[in-house]
Order: sequence, then C-alpha cells, then structure tokens
Amino acid sequence: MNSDDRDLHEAFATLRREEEAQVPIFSLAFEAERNQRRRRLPGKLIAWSATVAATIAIALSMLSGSRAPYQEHARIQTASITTWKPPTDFLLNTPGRELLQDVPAIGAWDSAATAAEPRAKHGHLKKTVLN
Amino acid sequence: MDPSDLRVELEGMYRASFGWALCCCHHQREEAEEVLQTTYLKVLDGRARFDGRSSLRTWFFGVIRRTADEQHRRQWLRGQLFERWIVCEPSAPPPAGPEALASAAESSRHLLQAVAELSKRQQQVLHLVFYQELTIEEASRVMEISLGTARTHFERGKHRLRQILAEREGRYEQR
Repeated sequence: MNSDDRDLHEAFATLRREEEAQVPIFSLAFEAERNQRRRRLPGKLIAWSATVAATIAIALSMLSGSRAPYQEHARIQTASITTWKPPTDFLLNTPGRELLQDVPAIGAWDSAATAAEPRAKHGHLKKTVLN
Repeated sequence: MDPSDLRVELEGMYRASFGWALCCCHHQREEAEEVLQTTYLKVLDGRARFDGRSSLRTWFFGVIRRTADEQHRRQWLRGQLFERWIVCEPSAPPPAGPEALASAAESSRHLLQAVAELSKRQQQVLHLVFYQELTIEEASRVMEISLGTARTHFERGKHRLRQILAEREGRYEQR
C-alpha cells in the first residue's frame, strides 16, 4: 500500500469503525458455539450408533444368507452319499455273505453249525462202490 | 496451542474476524455470524488446526474464508435441488445486505455499494489490505492464491473501485 491509497484506507477505516460498533459480544458468540457443540454431540452419537447398528445388521443378514444355501447344499450332498451305491456293488455279494451281515444269536449256534455241516448239506453224495 | 490461550487469541481478533466474515458473506450479518460460529466449532473440534506455518490471524482468516465458501456452496446446492422446482425463483444473493446498507453512514454506504460491484477476489484482497491492514503477501496466504495473482487483483480492484466511486460522486453532484 502506498501514499496514494490513503483515501481508500481512510474510507475502509471508517467502515471498520462503524461495523465494529455493531459486532456482537465475543463471549456470547463463543458460548453459543460451545452450546451448539454440546447439543450436536448426542445427535452425532445417535447417528454413529445407528450407522454401526445398521452395518452389523447388514453383515449378519449377509452372513446368515450366505450360510443357509451352503447348509442346504451340504444336507443334500450328505443324503445322496448315504443312498448312493456304486455300480460294482454286486461284486461284493459273495456266497455266505448273509452270515457275516447278521450277528449270530447265542443258542442258535448249533443249528447254524449243523446247517453248515458238509455231510448234512451234501448228504446226497455218497460214494458208490463199483463192483 | 492451549485451549485457554487459543480462546484469548481468538477473542483478541474477534472484531476483525467478524469484519472479515461479513466481507466473505456479502455483508449479510446473519450469515456472517453463522460462518463465524461454524469456524469456532471447527477450531474447538480440532477439524481446523493451527500448525504454526503462518500467523494465527492469517490461518484463522483462511478458515473463515473456506467456511464461508462451503456455506455458499451448500446454499447454492440447496437452491439448485429444492428451490428451483419448489419456489421457481432465482436465489442470487444481494450484493450488500440491506441491514448493512441501512445502518452504515453515507460514505460507508457508497463504499459498500461500490465494493459490491467488484469481483469476489478483488473485494477480498482490498478488504484484507485496507480494512484488516494486512500486507498483500498475507492476503494472498489467506486467499490461498499466489502473491502475483493477489497483486494483480489488488491493483485492478483499486483502479475499478476508484472509477466506480468517481462515477457515483459525479452522479451525486449532478443531482
């Protein structure tokens, strides 16, 4: 700013003096701001809490939503594995397999042993003596 | 800076800050008060921190300017989004607040009306230099522009302001 600007400087200084006479008291403005901050704090807190709650709810719903189809799929798969039979399963059907599948009852052992006697089973085979 | 020290410093420049806020808000008193309060809130919250790179006054004035700009943008957006369809009236702010014009003395009223015809940058740099008595360099820091740009705005603003004042004076004398 040079000496030529004195006129403008004076004009602005007059304006400043006039405006300064109408400035509100500082403490009022400052305290108003502090009160406003105090009033805003619960609002902010509520907004944050709501955001966090919404995020948790969304995350939980997404997790349960993704887990449910997986569990259903696993159940179907388990069911199919238990009922599925290989095509070569018949090869395991060997003679006398039923004996291995059942637990023999006590006391019924003799009849079973008798049944398994080769002599009784193949009684019709007799040695024929050729004279 | 200690909060109590900061309060003392802010209190010391309160009147000047209010004048600067008025300049940033086209001399709309209520708007200036709101801007200044929001600026205090920013400082108290720690959203605006003084890092000591410039003087406290320069820094605080910069925060006021940015806050005023934010408020204007918000008002403009609000105007674009809502008032455009609801009110159907253009929401351009008046160049100088009617309260300011009514309460100011004759000479100050002429000055305010003349300043209102300048560009925003010219208004701000002239205010900072003549009203706040900052140097052009300090004004450039507040306005976040280069020193050369600030000088250009200052010179052009001064020239234009003198022209407008002379025209107004001529018209006044003719009456």
